[in-house]
Amino acid sequence: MTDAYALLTGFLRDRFAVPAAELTEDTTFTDLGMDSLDLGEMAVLVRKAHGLALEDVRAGSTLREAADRLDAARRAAAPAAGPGPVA
Amino acid sequence: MIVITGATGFLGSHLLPHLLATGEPVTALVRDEPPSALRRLLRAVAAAGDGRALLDDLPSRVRFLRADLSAPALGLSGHEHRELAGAARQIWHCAALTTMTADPSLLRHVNVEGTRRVLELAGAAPRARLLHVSTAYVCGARQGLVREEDLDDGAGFLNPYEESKFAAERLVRSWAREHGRPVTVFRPSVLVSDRRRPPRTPRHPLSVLGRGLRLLAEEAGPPAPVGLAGSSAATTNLLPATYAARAMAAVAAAPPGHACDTYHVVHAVDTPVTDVLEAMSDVCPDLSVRLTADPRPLDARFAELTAGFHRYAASAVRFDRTRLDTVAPLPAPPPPVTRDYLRKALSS
Repeated sequence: MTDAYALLTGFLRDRFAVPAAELTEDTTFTDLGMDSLDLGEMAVLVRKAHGLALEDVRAGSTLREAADRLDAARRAAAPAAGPGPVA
Repeated sequence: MIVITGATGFLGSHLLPHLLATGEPVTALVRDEPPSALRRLLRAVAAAGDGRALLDDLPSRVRFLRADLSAPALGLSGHEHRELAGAARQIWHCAALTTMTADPSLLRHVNVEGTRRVLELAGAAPRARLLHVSTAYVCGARQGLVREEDLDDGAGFLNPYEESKFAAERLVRSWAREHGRPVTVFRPSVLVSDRRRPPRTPRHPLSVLGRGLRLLAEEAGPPAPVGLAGSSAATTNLLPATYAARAMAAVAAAPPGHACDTYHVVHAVDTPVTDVLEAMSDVCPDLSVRLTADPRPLDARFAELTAGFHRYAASAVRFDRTRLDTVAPLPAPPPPVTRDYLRKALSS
Protein backbone atom coordinates (compact mmCIF):
# COMPACT_ATOMS: atom_id res chain seq x y z
CA MET A 1 0.00 0.00 0.00
CA THR A 2 1.43 3.37 -1.03
CA ASP A 3 1.17 6.68 0.79
CA ALA A 4 -1.03 7.95 -2.03
CA TYR A 5 -3.37 5.02 -1.51
CA ALA A 6 -3.49 5.71 2.24
CA LEU A 7 -4.24 9.36 1.55
CA LEU A 8 -7.12 8.53 -0.80
CA THR A 9 -8.67 5.93 1.46
CA GLY A 10 -8.37 8.38 4.35
CA PHE A 11 -10.52 10.90 2.47
CA LEU A 12 -12.96 8.17 1.49
CA ARG A 13 -13.42 7.12 5.12
CA ASP A 14 -13.52 10.61 6.61
CA ARG A 15 -15.36 12.62 3.99
CA PHE A 16 -17.43 10.04 2.12
CA ALA A 17 -18.29 7.75 5.06
CA VAL A 18 -16.94 4.61 3.37
CA PRO A 19 -16.49 1.74 5.85
CA ALA A 20 -12.91 0.43 5.82
CA ALA A 21 -14.19 -3.05 4.93
CA GLU A 22 -15.37 -1.77 1.53
CA LEU A 23 -11.96 -0.40 0.57
CA THR A 24 -9.66 -2.56 -1.55
CA GLU A 25 -7.22 -1.65 -4.30
CA ASP A 26 -9.56 -3.16 -6.89
CA THR A 27 -12.66 -1.29 -5.69
CA THR A 28 -13.90 1.32 -8.15
CA PHE A 29 -15.47 4.63 -7.14
CA THR A 30 -18.68 3.42 -8.79
CA ASP A 31 -18.63 0.36 -6.50
CA LEU A 32 -18.65 2.79 -3.58
CA GLY A 33 -21.65 4.67 -4.99
CA MET A 34 -19.61 7.72 -6.01
CA ASP A 35 -20.07 9.80 -9.17
CA SER A 36 -18.11 12.34 -11.16
CA LEU A 37 -19.20 15.21 -8.88
CA ASP A 38 -17.87 13.27 -5.87
CA LEU A 39 -14.58 12.90 -7.74
CA GLY A 40 -14.57 16.65 -8.38
CA GLU A 41 -14.98 17.19 -4.65
CA MET A 42 -12.22 14.68 -3.95
CA ALA A 43 -9.91 16.56 -6.35
CA VAL A 44 -10.61 19.82 -4.49
CA LEU A 45 -9.84 18.13 -1.14
CA VAL A 46 -6.56 16.69 -2.44
CA ARG A 47 -5.53 19.99 -3.96
CA LYS A 48 -6.31 21.97 -0.82
CA ALA A 49 -4.59 19.53 1.53
CA HIS A 50 -1.56 18.63 -0.58
CA GLY A 51 -1.39 21.02 -3.55
CA LEU A 52 -1.68 18.10 -5.96
CA ALA A 53 -3.88 17.72 -9.03
CA LEU A 54 -5.92 14.53 -9.11
CA GLU A 55 -6.55 14.21 -12.83
CA ASP A 56 -7.75 11.55 -15.29
CA VAL A 57 -9.58 9.64 -12.57
CA ARG A 58 -13.08 8.51 -13.48
CA ALA A 59 -15.91 6.91 -11.52
CA GLY A 60 -14.94 3.57 -13.10
CA SER A 61 -11.28 3.88 -11.98
CA THR A 62 -10.02 1.58 -9.25
CA LEU A 63 -8.49 2.99 -6.07
CA ARG A 64 -5.12 1.59 -7.20
CA GLU A 65 -5.36 3.49 -10.50
CA ALA A 66 -6.31 6.69 -8.67
CA ALA A 67 -3.36 6.24 -6.26
CA ASP A 68 -1.04 5.74 -9.25
CA ARG A 69 -2.31 9.00 -10.76
CA LEU A 70 -1.69 10.78 -7.51
CA ASP A 71 1.84 9.40 -7.35
CA ALA A 72 2.43 10.64 -10.90
CA ALA A 73 1.14 14.09 -9.90
CA ARG A 74 3.50 14.12 -6.93
CA ARG A 75 6.49 13.20 -9.12
CA ALA A 76 5.55 15.91 -11.62
CA ALA A 77 5.26 18.47 -8.81
CA ALA A 78 8.63 17.59 -7.26
CA PRO A 79 10.80 15.75 -9.81
CA ALA A 80 14.01 16.04 -7.78
CA ALA A 81 12.53 14.80 -4.53
CA GLY A 82 12.41 11.14 -5.53
CA PRO A 83 10.21 8.62 -3.76
CA GLY A 84 8.81 9.81 -0.49
CA PRO A 85 5.64 10.37 1.44
CA VAL A 86 2.87 12.33 -0.22
CA ALA A 87 1.89 14.25 2.87
CA MET B 1 -44.99 -9.87 -6.41
CA ILE B 2 -43.91 -6.35 -7.30
CA VAL B 3 -40.89 -6.06 -9.61
CA ILE B 4 -38.99 -2.78 -9.69
CA THR B 5 -36.05 -1.48 -11.70
CA GLY B 6 -34.08 1.49 -10.42
CA ALA B 7 -34.93 0.82 -6.74
CA THR B 8 -31.61 2.26 -5.56
CA GLY B 9 -32.10 5.51 -7.50
CA PHE B 10 -33.51 8.80 -6.26
CA LEU B 11 -37.15 8.13 -7.16
CA GLY B 12 -36.91 4.36 -6.54
CA SER B 13 -35.70 4.83 -2.98
CA HIS B 14 -38.66 7.14 -2.30
CA LEU B 15 -41.10 4.69 -3.89
CA LEU B 16 -39.88 1.49 -2.26
CA PRO B 17 -41.46 2.08 1.18
CA HIS B 18 -44.85 2.56 -0.53
CA LEU B 19 -44.44 -0.66 -2.50
CA LEU B 20 -43.52 -2.55 0.67
CA ALA B 21 -46.54 -1.05 2.43
CA THR B 22 -48.81 -2.98 0.05
CA GLY B 23 -47.64 -6.18 1.77
CA GLU B 24 -46.56 -7.72 -1.55
CA PRO B 25 -43.09 -9.23 -1.82
CA VAL B 26 -40.73 -6.98 -3.81
CA THR B 27 -38.02 -8.05 -6.24
CA ALA B 28 -35.50 -5.39 -7.23
CA LEU B 29 -33.63 -5.82 -10.50
CA VAL B 30 -30.18 -4.40 -9.83
CA ARG B 31 -26.98 -3.97 -11.80
CA ASP B 32 -24.46 -4.88 -9.11
CA GLU B 33 -23.93 -7.88 -6.84
CA PRO B 34 -26.79 -8.26 -4.33
CA PRO B 35 -24.69 -7.43 -1.21
CA SER B 36 -23.48 -4.23 -2.83
CA ALA B 37 -27.01 -3.43 -4.07
CA LEU B 38 -28.39 -3.93 -0.56
CA ARG B 39 -25.85 -1.48 0.91
CA ARG B 40 -26.69 1.02 -1.84
CA LEU B 41 -30.42 0.59 -1.19
CA LEU B 42 -30.09 0.96 2.58
CA ARG B 43 -28.15 4.21 2.14
CA ALA B 44 -30.66 5.53 -0.40
CA VAL B 45 -33.80 4.65 1.59
CA ALA B 46 -32.31 6.10 4.79
CA ALA B 47 -31.51 9.31 2.89
CA ALA B 48 -35.01 9.51 1.36
CA GLY B 49 -36.50 9.69 4.84
CA ASP B 50 -39.97 8.17 4.48
CA GLY B 51 -38.74 4.59 4.76
CA ARG B 52 -36.42 4.82 7.77
CA ALA B 53 -38.72 2.60 9.86
CA LEU B 54 -38.32 -0.15 7.27
CA LEU B 55 -34.54 -0.28 7.25
CA ASP B 56 -34.24 -3.25 9.60
CA ASP B 57 -36.78 -5.28 7.62
CA LEU B 58 -35.51 -4.32 4.21
CA PRO B 59 -32.93 -7.13 3.78
CA SER B 60 -35.60 -9.78 4.40
CA ARG B 61 -38.38 -8.09 2.43
CA VAL B 62 -36.61 -7.16 -0.79
CA ARG B 63 -35.15 -9.83 -3.04
CA PHE B 64 -32.34 -8.69 -5.31
CA LEU B 65 -31.88 -10.13 -8.74
CA ARG B 66 -28.82 -9.07 -10.69
CA ALA B 67 -29.93 -8.01 -14.15
CA ASP B 68 -28.66 -6.19 -17.22
CA LEU B 69 -31.54 -4.05 -18.44
CA SER B 70 -30.35 -3.81 -22.00
CA ALA B 71 -29.42 -7.49 -22.47
CA PRO B 72 -31.71 -10.12 -23.98
CA ALA B 73 -34.07 -11.46 -21.28
CA LEU B 74 -32.58 -8.80 -18.96
CA GLY B 75 -29.48 -10.98 -18.67
CA LEU B 76 -31.48 -13.49 -16.58
CA SER B 77 -31.54 -17.25 -17.13
CA GLY B 78 -34.61 -18.61 -18.90
CA HIS B 79 -35.80 -20.06 -15.61
CA GLU B 80 -35.32 -16.79 -13.71
CA HIS B 81 -37.12 -14.81 -16.41
CA ARG B 82 -40.10 -17.22 -16.50
CA GLU B 83 -40.32 -17.32 -12.71
CA LEU B 84 -40.23 -13.51 -12.48
CA ALA B 85 -42.83 -13.08 -15.23
CA GLY B 86 -45.09 -15.71 -13.69
CA ALA B 87 -45.08 -14.14 -10.23
CA ALA B 88 -45.20 -10.44 -11.18
CA ARG B 89 -48.40 -8.49 -10.46
CA GLN B 90 -46.83 -5.07 -10.93
CA ILE B 91 -43.71 -4.13 -12.88
CA TRP B 92 -42.36 -0.66 -12.04
CA HIS B 93 -39.79 0.57 -14.54
CA CYS B 94 -37.97 3.37 -12.73
CA ALA B 95 -34.41 2.77 -13.93
CA ALA B 96 -33.04 5.37 -16.30
CA LEU B 97 -29.90 7.29 -17.10
CA THR B 98 -30.93 10.82 -16.14
CA THR B 99 -27.76 12.74 -17.00
CA MET B 100 -29.16 15.14 -19.57
CA THR B 101 -25.85 15.64 -21.33
CA ALA B 102 -24.67 12.02 -21.37
CA ASP B 103 -23.58 10.43 -24.63
CA PRO B 104 -26.69 10.02 -26.86
CA SER B 105 -25.89 6.40 -27.73
CA LEU B 106 -25.51 5.53 -24.04
CA LEU B 107 -28.81 7.27 -23.26
CA ARG B 108 -30.53 5.29 -26.00
CA HIS B 109 -28.93 2.07 -24.80
CA VAL B 110 -30.07 2.46 -21.20
CA ASN B 111 -33.36 4.31 -21.61
CA VAL B 112 -34.74 2.94 -24.88
CA GLU B 113 -33.29 -0.57 -25.06
CA GLY B 114 -33.81 -0.97 -21.30
CA THR B 115 -37.49 -0.14 -21.75
CA ARG B 116 -37.73 -2.60 -24.65
CA ARG B 117 -36.41 -5.39 -22.38
CA VAL B 118 -38.83 -4.46 -19.61
CA LEU B 119 -41.68 -4.58 -22.15
CA GLU B 120 -40.55 -8.10 -23.09
CA LEU B 121 -40.80 -9.08 -19.43
CA ALA B 122 -44.27 -7.50 -19.22
CA GLY B 123 -45.25 -9.38 -22.39
CA ALA B 124 -44.31 -12.65 -20.68
CA ALA B 125 -46.21 -11.61 -17.53
CA PRO B 126 -49.90 -11.59 -18.50
CA ARG B 127 -51.12 -10.86 -14.96
CA ALA B 128 -48.78 -7.91 -14.37
CA ARG B 129 -49.63 -4.24 -14.60
CA LEU B 130 -46.80 -2.18 -16.10
CA LEU B 131 -46.02 1.19 -14.50
CA HIS B 132 -43.50 3.08 -16.60
CA VAL B 133 -41.70 6.14 -15.24
CA SER B 134 -41.18 8.63 -18.03
CA THR B 135 -40.63 12.39 -17.58
CA ALA B 136 -42.71 15.49 -18.16
CA TYR B 137 -39.83 16.67 -20.34
CA VAL B 138 -40.62 14.21 -23.15
CA CYS B 139 -42.32 17.37 -24.46
CA GLY B 140 -38.85 18.59 -25.49
CA ALA B 141 -38.67 22.23 -26.56
CA ARG B 142 -42.44 22.76 -26.59
CA GLN B 143 -43.77 25.92 -24.96
CA GLY B 144 -47.19 26.58 -23.46
CA LEU B 145 -49.54 23.96 -22.04
CA VAL B 146 -48.76 20.25 -22.57
CA ARG B 147 -51.54 17.77 -21.94
CA GLU B 148 -51.09 14.33 -20.48
CA GLU B 149 -52.14 12.55 -23.68
CA ASP B 150 -49.73 14.60 -25.84
CA LEU B 151 -46.63 12.89 -27.19
CA ASP B 152 -45.05 14.59 -30.18
CA ASP B 153 -41.55 15.58 -31.15
CA GLY B 154 -42.45 18.47 -33.44
CA ALA B 155 -40.61 21.07 -31.35
CA GLY B 156 -37.40 19.06 -31.06
CA PHE B 157 -35.54 18.36 -27.83
CA LEU B 158 -33.32 20.37 -25.48
CA ASN B 159 -30.97 17.43 -24.89
CA PRO B 160 -30.47 13.76 -25.77
CA TYR B 161 -31.94 12.67 -22.42
CA GLU B 162 -35.35 14.07 -23.36
CA GLU B 163 -35.15 12.42 -26.77
CA SER B 164 -34.33 9.02 -25.27
CA LYS B 165 -37.23 9.22 -22.81
CA PHE B 166 -39.55 10.28 -25.64
CA ALA B 167 -38.49 7.24 -27.70
CA ALA B 168 -39.00 4.97 -24.66
CA GLU B 169 -42.49 6.33 -24.00
CA ARG B 170 -43.42 5.85 -27.64
CA LEU B 171 -42.34 2.19 -27.36
CA VAL B 172 -44.55 1.79 -24.29
CA ARG B 173 -47.57 3.30 -26.02
CA SER B 174 -47.13 1.08 -29.08
CA TRP B 175 -46.76 -1.98 -26.88
CA ALA B 176 -49.96 -1.16 -24.96
CA ARG B 177 -51.86 -0.76 -28.23
CA GLU B 178 -50.51 -3.93 -29.82
CA HIS B 179 -51.01 -6.10 -26.74
CA GLY B 180 -54.28 -4.58 -25.56
CA ARG B 181 -52.77 -4.27 -22.09
CA PRO B 182 -53.33 -1.40 -19.66
CA VAL B 183 -50.19 0.57 -18.88
CA THR B 184 -49.68 3.41 -16.43
CA VAL B 185 -47.18 6.06 -17.52
CA PHE B 186 -45.91 8.55 -14.95
CA ARG B 187 -44.39 11.79 -16.14
CA PRO B 188 -42.76 13.42 -13.14
CA SER B 189 -41.28 16.88 -13.52
CA VAL B 190 -37.99 17.72 -11.76
CA LEU B 191 -37.99 15.66 -8.56
CA VAL B 192 -36.13 17.30 -5.70
CA SER B 193 -35.63 17.18 -1.96
CA ASP B 194 -34.62 19.66 0.73
CA ARG B 195 -33.24 16.91 2.98
CA ARG B 196 -29.54 16.91 3.71
CA ARG B 197 -27.92 14.38 1.38
CA PRO B 198 -25.56 11.93 3.07
CA PRO B 199 -22.46 10.93 1.06
CA ARG B 200 -22.92 8.33 -1.67
CA THR B 201 -26.67 8.56 -1.94
CA PRO B 202 -28.65 9.42 -5.10
CA ARG B 203 -28.57 13.04 -6.19
CA HIS B 204 -31.48 15.05 -7.48
CA PRO B 205 -31.03 17.75 -10.14
CA LEU B 206 -30.81 20.67 -7.66
CA SER B 207 -28.17 18.77 -5.70
CA VAL B 208 -26.20 18.32 -8.94
CA LEU B 209 -26.65 22.01 -9.74
CA GLY B 210 -25.52 23.15 -6.28
CA ARG B 211 -22.50 20.85 -6.25
CA GLY B 212 -21.50 21.92 -9.77
CA LEU B 213 -21.79 25.56 -8.72
CA ARG B 214 -19.55 25.08 -5.69
CA LEU B 215 -16.95 23.23 -7.76
CA LEU B 216 -16.97 26.05 -10.30
CA ALA B 217 -16.48 28.60 -7.51
CA GLU B 218 -13.44 26.59 -6.34
CA GLU B 219 -12.03 26.52 -9.87
CA ALA B 220 -12.81 30.15 -10.72
CA GLY B 221 -10.96 31.64 -7.74
CA PRO B 222 -12.00 35.25 -7.11
CA PRO B 223 -15.72 36.11 -7.18
CA ALA B 224 -16.95 35.93 -10.74
CA PRO B 225 -20.19 36.44 -12.65
CA VAL B 226 -21.65 33.56 -14.62
CA GLY B 227 -24.09 34.20 -17.41
CA LEU B 228 -26.98 32.08 -18.57
CA ALA B 229 -28.79 32.66 -21.82
CA GLY B 230 -32.40 32.75 -20.71
CA SER B 231 -35.56 34.67 -20.01
CA SER B 232 -36.69 36.40 -16.81
CA ALA B 233 -40.18 34.98 -17.47
CA ALA B 234 -38.94 31.35 -17.62
CA THR B 235 -40.39 28.81 -15.22
CA THR B 236 -39.52 25.30 -14.20
CA ASN B 237 -41.58 22.65 -12.42
CA LEU B 238 -39.94 21.34 -9.26
CA LEU B 239 -41.68 18.67 -7.21
CA PRO B 240 -40.65 17.20 -3.83
CA ALA B 241 -39.93 13.52 -4.44
CA THR B 242 -41.81 12.50 -1.29
CA TYR B 243 -45.02 13.86 -2.83
CA ALA B 244 -44.29 12.27 -6.22
CA ALA B 245 -43.82 8.84 -4.64
CA ARG B 246 -47.04 9.15 -2.65
CA ALA B 247 -48.99 10.30 -5.72
CA MET B 248 -47.65 7.42 -7.83
CA ALA B 249 -48.53 4.93 -5.07
CA ALA B 250 -52.06 6.39 -4.98
CA VAL B 251 -52.42 5.89 -8.74
CA ALA B 252 -51.10 2.32 -8.46
CA ALA B 253 -53.57 1.53 -5.66
CA ALA B 254 -56.53 2.19 -7.97
CA PRO B 255 -57.41 -0.30 -10.71
CA PRO B 256 -55.77 0.47 -14.06
CA GLY B 257 -57.73 1.90 -16.95
CA HIS B 258 -58.14 0.01 -20.20
CA ALA B 259 -55.43 1.72 -22.20
CA CYS B 260 -52.22 3.64 -21.73
CA ASP B 261 -53.03 6.17 -19.00
CA THR B 262 -50.50 8.96 -18.61
CA TYR B 263 -50.18 11.13 -15.51
CA HIS B 264 -48.25 14.39 -15.23
CA VAL B 265 -46.82 14.04 -11.72
CA VAL B 266 -46.03 17.73 -11.35
CA HIS B 267 -46.37 20.58 -8.88
CA ALA B 268 -49.54 22.61 -9.36
CA VAL B 269 -47.40 25.76 -9.02
CA ASP B 270 -44.41 26.39 -11.31
CA THR B 271 -41.18 27.84 -9.92
CA PRO B 272 -39.73 30.96 -11.60
CA VAL B 273 -36.22 30.32 -12.90
CA THR B 274 -35.22 33.68 -11.39
CA ASP B 275 -36.03 32.23 -7.92
CA VAL B 276 -33.62 29.37 -8.62
CA LEU B 277 -30.91 31.81 -9.75
CA GLU B 278 -31.36 33.94 -6.60
CA ALA B 279 -31.13 30.86 -4.38
CA MET B 280 -27.98 29.86 -6.28
CA SER B 281 -26.42 33.21 -5.44
CA ASP B 282 -27.48 32.74 -1.80
CA VAL B 283 -25.71 29.39 -1.45
CA CYS B 284 -22.70 30.37 -3.54
CA PRO B 285 -22.08 34.11 -3.08
CA ASP B 286 -18.74 33.89 -4.90
CA LEU B 287 -20.55 33.28 -8.17
CA SER B 288 -23.31 35.59 -9.22
CA VAL B 289 -25.41 33.76 -11.79
CA ARG B 290 -27.45 36.07 -13.98
CA LEU B 291 -29.27 36.01 -17.28
CA THR B 292 -27.23 37.29 -20.18
CA ALA B 293 -27.25 37.44 -23.94
CA ASP B 294 -23.46 37.20 -24.09
CA PRO B 295 -22.16 33.83 -22.75
CA ARG B 296 -18.41 33.59 -22.02
CA PRO B 297 -15.96 30.69 -21.36
CA LEU B 298 -16.82 30.42 -17.65
CA ASP B 299 -20.43 30.05 -18.71
CA ALA B 300 -19.57 27.01 -20.85
CA ARG B 301 -17.80 25.38 -17.90
CA PHE B 302 -20.85 26.11 -15.75
CA ALA B 303 -23.03 24.41 -18.35
CA GLU B 304 -20.74 21.37 -18.30
CA LEU B 305 -20.61 21.08 -14.51
CA THR B 306 -24.33 21.49 -14.07
CA ALA B 307 -25.32 18.87 -16.64
CA GLY B 308 -27.35 20.96 -19.02
CA PHE B 309 -29.48 22.95 -16.56
CA HIS B 310 -28.81 26.12 -18.57
CA ARG B 311 -31.01 24.92 -21.44
CA TYR B 312 -34.06 25.32 -19.21
CA ALA B 313 -33.40 28.97 -18.37
CA ALA B 314 -35.62 30.02 -21.27
CA SER B 315 -38.42 27.48 -20.84
CA ALA B 316 -42.07 28.52 -20.64
CA VAL B 317 -43.70 25.10 -20.71
CA ARG B 318 -46.57 24.20 -18.38
CA PHE B 319 -47.93 20.75 -17.60
CA ASP B 320 -51.63 20.01 -17.38
CA ARG B 321 -52.44 17.54 -14.56
CA THR B 322 -56.15 16.96 -15.11
CA ARG B 323 -55.87 13.16 -15.00
CA LEU B 324 -53.68 13.18 -11.89
CA ASP B 325 -56.26 15.35 -10.14
CA THR B 326 -58.96 12.72 -10.74
CA VAL B 327 -57.07 10.22 -8.57
CA ALA B 328 -58.63 9.73 -5.14
CA PRO B 329 -57.30 9.98 -2.59
CA LEU B 330 -54.29 12.04 -3.68
CA PRO B 331 -51.79 13.00 -0.98
CA ALA B 332 -52.06 16.52 0.46
CA PRO B 333 -50.49 18.90 -2.06
CA PRO B 334 -46.87 19.87 -1.48
CA PRO B 335 -46.18 23.41 -0.25
CA PRO B 336 -44.90 25.94 -2.80
CA VAL B 337 -41.19 25.65 -3.55
CA THR B 338 -39.88 28.66 -1.62
CA ARG B 339 -36.47 30.29 -1.80
CA ASP B 340 -35.61 28.66 1.53
CA TYR B 341 -36.52 25.25 0.12
CA LEU B 342 -34.39 25.97 -2.95
CA ARG B 343 -31.41 26.97 -0.78
CA LYS B 344 -31.66 23.71 1.17
CA ALA B 345 -32.08 21.63 -1.99
CA LEU B 346 -29.09 23.29 -3.67
CA SER B 347 -26.96 22.74 -0.55
CA SER B 348 -27.97 19.09 -0.14
